[in-house]
Amino acid sequence: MSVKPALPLKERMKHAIADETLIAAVKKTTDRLEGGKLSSSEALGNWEEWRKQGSRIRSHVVEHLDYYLGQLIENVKKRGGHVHIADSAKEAVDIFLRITREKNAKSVIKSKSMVSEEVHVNKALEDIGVEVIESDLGEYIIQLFGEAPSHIIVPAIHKNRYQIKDKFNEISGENLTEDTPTLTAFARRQLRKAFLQADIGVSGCNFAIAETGSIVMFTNEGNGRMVTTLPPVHVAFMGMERLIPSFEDLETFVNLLPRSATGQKITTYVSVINGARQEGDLDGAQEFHLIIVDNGRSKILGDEEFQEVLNCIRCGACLNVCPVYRHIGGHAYGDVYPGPIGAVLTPLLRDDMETWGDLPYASSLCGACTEACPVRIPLHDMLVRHRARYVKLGLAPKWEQMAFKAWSKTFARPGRYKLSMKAARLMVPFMARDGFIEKGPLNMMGWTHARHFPSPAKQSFREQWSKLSGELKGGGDHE
Amino acid sequence: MNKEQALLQRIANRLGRTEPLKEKPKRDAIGAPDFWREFKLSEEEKIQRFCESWRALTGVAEVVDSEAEALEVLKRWAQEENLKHLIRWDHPELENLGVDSLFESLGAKMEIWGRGETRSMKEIANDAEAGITWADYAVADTGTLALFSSREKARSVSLLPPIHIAIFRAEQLVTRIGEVMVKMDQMGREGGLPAGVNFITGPSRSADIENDLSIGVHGPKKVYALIIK
Ligand code: SF4
Repeated sequence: MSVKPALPLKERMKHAIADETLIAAVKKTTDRLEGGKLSSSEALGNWEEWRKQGSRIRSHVVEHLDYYLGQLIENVKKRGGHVHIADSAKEAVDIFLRITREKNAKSVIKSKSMVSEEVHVNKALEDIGVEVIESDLGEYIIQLFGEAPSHIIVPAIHKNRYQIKDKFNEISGENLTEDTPTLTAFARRQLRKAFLQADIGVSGCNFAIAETGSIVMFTNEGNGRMVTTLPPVHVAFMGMERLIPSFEDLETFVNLLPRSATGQKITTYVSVINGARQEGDLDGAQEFHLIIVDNGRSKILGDEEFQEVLNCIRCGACLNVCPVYRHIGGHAYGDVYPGPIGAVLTPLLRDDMETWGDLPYASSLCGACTEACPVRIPLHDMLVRHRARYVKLGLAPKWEQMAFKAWSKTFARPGRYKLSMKAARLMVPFMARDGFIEKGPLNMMGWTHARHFPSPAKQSFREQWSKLSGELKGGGDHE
Repeated sequence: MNKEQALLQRIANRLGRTEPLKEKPKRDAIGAPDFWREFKLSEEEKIQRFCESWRALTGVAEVVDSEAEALEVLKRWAQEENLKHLIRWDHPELENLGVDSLFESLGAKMEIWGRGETRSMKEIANDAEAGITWADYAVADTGTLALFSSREKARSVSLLPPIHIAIFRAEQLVTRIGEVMVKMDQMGREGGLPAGVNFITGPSRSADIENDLSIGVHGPKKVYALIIK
């Protein structure tokens, strides 16, 4: 189980930036999702009120997680479900493998679950010879390519239809065309058999209801319903914080999550699973297991600067508005959670600033993520806090430390500041074109590599101001 | 200390408590925002709103005044879709409506969930061209059906066949989804929650291939709603 990315962040970014198909696909998809979100949240009205309510409910749960998690565990058991606690990724996998062995399972079918991605279940299953099939169309596609998801909501965002068609034909020996209905119908045929034959169905859990011991899934395709209805055993993976107190609270998230994620008013299916099938039922899993995963989450609790990140409902809205994500796609973030949420969450979950502490630098700090977040997590503040910790730990590059020291000295004294700005303005004619600097010197290179830097104004604000204020004083009252 | 207790203890400590909280914490933010709870539609408005939302997602919706009319509509749908093999919930309302004799008269085979063995039931549902359910509730705001599972009301019937036909009476419509959620909380307290509750809004969909909307990836491709006033 690797906790280190194969390449350093800068290298990952370089690869991503070089991939034009990827950039075009990511841009198109994020535009669509973001546009849908804006119009559907506007249509709902009072969006800020909804966000506040969402944030208050989630914060309340996280602040009282001991109570609500205790309540959930008790109620799942009351309904005859099996509860398992996994402190680490490895434990989560071990628990799942144990269930697989006990059930003598040969095949496992999964609907989308970020947590199972996070702990790397598939690899472990394959190692012991159990067939594991992802059934979400996007996940199915990238599984065939042997890749990881690159977006929380649209995992195969980076693949185009020709690549998909070729892959489908390669595995089936068929001669499919690249139109969407044909490709979809093929996946439907393939997967329908698998749903009916699998020994274990695996799902994620968008929300667990503490008061009733239920799990709730938001899906569009119906595969979430298949994996919980057809195989004899259902195992749900849940991050330990994904709780809300009662069904009544679910109304807020039914309104917030789909709109933020895809711009839908509601997802096609909101499925509530209250444990295994009941006496007399002829479908639904006969056995229900809930694996509650900590894997670094409890360390975020009580950390004033970051606790709120546990409010996240994994909608992906912050990815869609992030200029950096839009430019580099998901894989460059190196771990399961991409985009601004990934840049905040990964260093915390991994608890390893040395390896992951540079992720928060993959942000322009424009604040779009914070504005997009349906539960009002101050993502860009958290990115700054991460950077501060990174610097404090002495992990920032030497030249950067020196440069910032110089900056702060310059900024602290008006005289020095003025002088430096004058110097900068003198340099501009050598570097700028049409008011932008395209190739900056030294520490500006990181910036100008991917975008243009606005060149300093010919006259500083102070210089303009002294002139303007003179004019204003002389100009008298216009009204 | 077992693993569960250890986890709760760890969480409590991180949150600054010496032991896990046992008493229900007080809170003031519950459910939907206040202004939203005041949202109420009349029955006519609910019917209209439901149909609009349902149709916006390619669903077919019709409203009828009587049982006899309902059968007429079903007959038309069956002919348009050329339905020959169906499965339905074992629900008294469907029984009373007389759907069985209707489809028999059309030369179609109607199976009834639960009147057979489990394994074959799933296979029958998988082979059927359409599944018929009687919705427990329908939500006007979003155009959503709420189906509660039981022995007679199997989840497979609304899931496996490529067509899903849901029938219900206008009085089963609520304005907001939260009204059903509150009922579920009550059922939970009284020990009567079914194993599965499915809220269904339109046909199965995906946009995973180049953002191109495709219908019917795993669940039904076509959904019909019939409202009896
Ligand atoms: S941080 Fe906010 S916007 Fe980003 S995925 Fe989580 S809930 Fe959505």
